[in-house]
Amino acid sequence: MSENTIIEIINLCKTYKGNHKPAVDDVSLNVYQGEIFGLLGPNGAGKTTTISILCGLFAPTKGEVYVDGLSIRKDKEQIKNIIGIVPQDIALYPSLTAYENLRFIGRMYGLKGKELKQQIRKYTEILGLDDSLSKKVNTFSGGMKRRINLVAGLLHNPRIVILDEPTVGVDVQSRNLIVQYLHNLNKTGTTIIYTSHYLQEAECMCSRVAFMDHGKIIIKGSPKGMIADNPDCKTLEEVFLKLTGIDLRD
Amino acid sequence: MNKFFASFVKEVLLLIRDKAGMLSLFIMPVILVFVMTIIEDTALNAIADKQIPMLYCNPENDSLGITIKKGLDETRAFTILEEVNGEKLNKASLQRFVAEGKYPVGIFIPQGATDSLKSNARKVVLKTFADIGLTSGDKADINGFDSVVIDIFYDPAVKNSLKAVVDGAIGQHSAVIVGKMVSKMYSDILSDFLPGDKKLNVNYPTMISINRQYASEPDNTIIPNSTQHNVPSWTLFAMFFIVIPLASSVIQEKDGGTYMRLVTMPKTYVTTFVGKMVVYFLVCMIQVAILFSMGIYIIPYTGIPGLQIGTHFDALLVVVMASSFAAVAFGVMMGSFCTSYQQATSIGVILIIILASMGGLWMPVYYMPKGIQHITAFSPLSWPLKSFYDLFLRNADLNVVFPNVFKTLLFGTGCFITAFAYKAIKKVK
Repeated sequence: MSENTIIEIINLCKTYKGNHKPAVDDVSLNVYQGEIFGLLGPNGAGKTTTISILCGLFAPTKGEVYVDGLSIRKDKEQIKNIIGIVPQDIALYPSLTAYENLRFIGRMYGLKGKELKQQIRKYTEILGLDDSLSKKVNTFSGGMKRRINLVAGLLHNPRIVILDEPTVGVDVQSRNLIVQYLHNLNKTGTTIIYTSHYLQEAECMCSRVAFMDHGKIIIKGSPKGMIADNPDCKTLEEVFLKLTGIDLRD
Repeated sequence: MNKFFASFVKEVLLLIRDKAGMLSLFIMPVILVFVMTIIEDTALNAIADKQIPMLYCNPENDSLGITIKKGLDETRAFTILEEVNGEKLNKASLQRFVAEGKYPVGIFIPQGATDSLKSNARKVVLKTFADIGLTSGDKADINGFDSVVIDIFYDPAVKNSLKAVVDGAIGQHSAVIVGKMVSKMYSDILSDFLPGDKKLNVNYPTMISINRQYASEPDNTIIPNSTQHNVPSWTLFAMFFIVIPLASSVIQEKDGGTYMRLVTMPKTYVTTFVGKMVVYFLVCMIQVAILFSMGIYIIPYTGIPGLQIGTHFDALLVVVMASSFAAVAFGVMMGSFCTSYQQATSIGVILIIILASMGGLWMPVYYMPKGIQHITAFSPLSWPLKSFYDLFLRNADLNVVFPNVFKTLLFGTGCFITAFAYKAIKKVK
């Protein structure tokens, strides 16, 4: 593990019970401190399973994962404090207001009192939600839900933020705000791991990306380097299609 | 503590804002308990050992009517009513009420019946003496009896057994009073033949006494009335109905992604889970408080006896807490097994209905066929119900209800263990 590696995944395998085919098959990769790392792939490639193992949601079948030098098998609870997760689903209670949701999540991360209020105010102002704190989440637009979902993952100032398709289904303005904010967040030293189907967005955002397909890493490197290595491709999306094929996935 | 409090507040807010959940937890049980208590009152009374209402009109208010009434009272088979809706009965109204089927039987003692009886008794005695040539100074006419007629009006629908009981009781008590009058008459007249101021005084000791005993061990079952059965039964049913909002809450967290967030937070899931359990546990306790209060204070306004909860409140609290624990644990287990809201509501509800009917919640166990009664002991809902019966009908204490409380707690613990074991197995998979 090099000095600036914050996440080290070694020969990671995950096979769900009843399935013969592994969802994650011998994946090894490093994520460096302070980078925006894109984990890209078609549906069913194994991105969400990899992220879920990183978050401690599933135990790996084989292999090891170290986060900031801590083992995912032994030091799961400590790792949870370092990571902020922004799931693909809007993981909030629809009948609670934005403030009630954030207050609950903040308290779960050990924040309280003035500090909690300041954190809520800070992130909701940045993401344009400060006027909507008293509204129930089920009254929010898709873009607002995505943004509040993002705030919920950032409240405890995590050193690593894992985002699973954070801009899916949102309007251009909300997407632009989220992407801009993630850039700014990264500038403060926060490591970001990001999955998306929007390869143009990933190309702009990520310092490095890895393509996953059928549970395996098929290529990793910087977007520019990948395009350079494939002279017939002008964009990351073309590289992606070249490497993963055009067949439809489940 | 901060995490627990946050979870508790979150669950309370979620529950309060779930209008359908609130309806099924509080409003519907109130309606259910109220309606069931009223509609089952007639049915349960018909089966239970209940006094038969009897109209009684005794305008002369003398010995005969008083003795017969006292005798009927002592049978404990009748509730004797001398007025209806605040109006004193007369022969016509008594007959009308019975004819209308409002009362099964009515008795009318005519004016002057006691005097006629006394006169008849005197004539019998005087005639007896006259037949052997003894005449007293009394020159009363010893011929011509005015037979006293007591009218008994029956509803045509009344069974012959009831008629026999009423006829027998009246015949018996009339005979007693006639016997007493005749013997007094003999004493009075014979005293006329005694020298000086000597009086003949005949006393009847109790010559026959009845020794009523059971040929075998008596069945100590106390039959509950509608309130005593329906209020605790349907309260338990409502408590276990918590499976719907509770299992739904667990499933919605799984489906909505909040479960993922909770699991990925440090040392959080157990705390939030306990927070949820405590809220639903308190909901069950509040349900009991509301429904029992209704049984005590509202039900009596309908003319049905109110709920008597005994005097052992410590034991009652323990039974309620054990029942709440079991209901919540059952909800958690269903939430773990079911993968969708539809599954939880359909399977959960059907299971509760089966357990409730088996446990004697719908119909008291005592009225079920003997063979079925043995099966009821296996329903976890029957254990707290039996505890409530013990507390309410027998004023039992904690020692008496402990075995059923223990079984209830064991069931709850079993549900929790099953839920967690299933969850652990699924996580490994």
